[in-house]
Amino acid sequence: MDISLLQEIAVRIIREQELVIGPLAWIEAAKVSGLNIIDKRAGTVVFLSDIDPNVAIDKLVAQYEKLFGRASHEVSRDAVKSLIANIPLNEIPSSLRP
Amino acid sequence: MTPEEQLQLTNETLYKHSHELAVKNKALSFLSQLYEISTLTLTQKQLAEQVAVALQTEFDFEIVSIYQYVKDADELLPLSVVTSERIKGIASSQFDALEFEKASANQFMASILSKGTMHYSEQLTSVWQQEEIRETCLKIETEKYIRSSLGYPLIIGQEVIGVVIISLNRTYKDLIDYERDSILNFMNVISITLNRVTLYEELGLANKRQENLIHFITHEVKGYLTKSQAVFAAITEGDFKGVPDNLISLAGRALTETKNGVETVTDILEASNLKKGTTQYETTDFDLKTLVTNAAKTFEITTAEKGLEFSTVVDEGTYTFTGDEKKITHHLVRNLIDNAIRYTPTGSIKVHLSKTTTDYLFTVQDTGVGIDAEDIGRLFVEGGRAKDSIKVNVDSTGYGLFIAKMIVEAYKGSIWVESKGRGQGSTFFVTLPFQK
Repeated sequence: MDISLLQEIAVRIIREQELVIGPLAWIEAAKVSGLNIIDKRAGTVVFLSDIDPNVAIDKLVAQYEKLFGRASHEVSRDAVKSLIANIPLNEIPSSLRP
Repeated sequence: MTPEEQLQLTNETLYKHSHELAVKNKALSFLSQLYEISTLTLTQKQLAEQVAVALQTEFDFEIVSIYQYVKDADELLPLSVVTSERIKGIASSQFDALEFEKASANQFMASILSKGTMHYSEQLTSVWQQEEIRETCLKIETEKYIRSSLGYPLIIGQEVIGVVIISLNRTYKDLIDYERDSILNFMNVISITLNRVTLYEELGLANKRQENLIHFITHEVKGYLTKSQAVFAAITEGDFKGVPDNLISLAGRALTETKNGVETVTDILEASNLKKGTTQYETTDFDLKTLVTNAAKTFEITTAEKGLEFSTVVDEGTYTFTGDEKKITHHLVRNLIDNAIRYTPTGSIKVHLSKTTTDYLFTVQDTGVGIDAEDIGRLFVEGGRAKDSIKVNVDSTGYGLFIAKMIVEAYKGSIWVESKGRGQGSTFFVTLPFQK
């Protein structure tokens, strides 16, 4: 999958979580290994080259779920529904598959 | 339950509550966005464009199109069509100008228009059946860029006034609750907003037509009156021989009446032009002092005949002004002095021109019938006159002070009146700012 789309997915998840839990969303995202936040305001993130971006996104989803439970998983999944609608199922990060 | 488990449970419960609030906030925020759009002064098309853009970006829809329904012609006319970047890549602007002629023949639209309820389809070609877009629609369907289309009626009262079509890359069941609820609620807001703008546009058009009609009628009437005036003037001035004296006297009275009529119609025309913004202002340099002095002089006979004390005072200094000398003379200076004479049965009239630190100040003070506080508010409006003014001045058109105000305001000045009430006289003030 296009790396820029994966970056957009990560930012969309963080921004949606930010609506619920505020700045904590960015603090928790910064703890995810393989994901580097460049600019919160502009919404720029990069994936570190030594890790699969899909795995990094799964970790991001799991980071919120660990703290806030199943509901946060649903929020992450709903947030990116329109972005992943045209991506083949096997290319979608497993945590976001329908 | 361990303290850690309790903490986790509390966290999760709080998260759920926060999420509910976040969803409501999002809906409110979008609603306020729509409200902001609705408060802008926009045409129906501009408004539809902004609403469609807001809907498309908020929910990542592929196509959002808003149509106006013309019931008599059974047509859906595009007000706005907004597409996502990737649909633009395939269809360019192909969807933009597509109309639905015989809308009821399109099954998708027929269902929305007849039942007034939402209709859903997973086939793009069942929505856009126009031949010119068919290939594009098939390509979009094949690529699965659009999986479904939702059609919503825009309803006012019982009547469908338009249709919103939303095409998206998911099916209806993939929509989350927030999206479903929001879309449905927003359709009502869009209906009301669009309808309001339509009504404003219709009202504006009706006003313009009425203005044009008044303009036409007054222009025609002025033509007839002017011809009559010329005939009466010819009789009075002895252009015809052998006219009996009583007919000359009758023609003299008719001439006066006709002149008043021409003046009234001219005032109405002038007010109409000023309102429409079609009045031409000439620009010349002139001396306000000379203008006021000369204008005042022309009233000396009238005031003397009426037994009024009449004085004109101009303070020292230069009074150069650039503007429309004729309009300022006739509609401002002469109009205010003439009014003072008409509404002052006995006593005096004082005309004064002076300067403040920033403005020229022209005042006309009389000891006439005065104006009460309630009437002051009626004076400077179109067709406005004091409650009993017609008893004192039968020729009052109700347009003189309105025109004066429009002209003063064109030069960024002010006009107002002060009076202690009925029988206490009044003073009219005009300021015209110095020009750089």
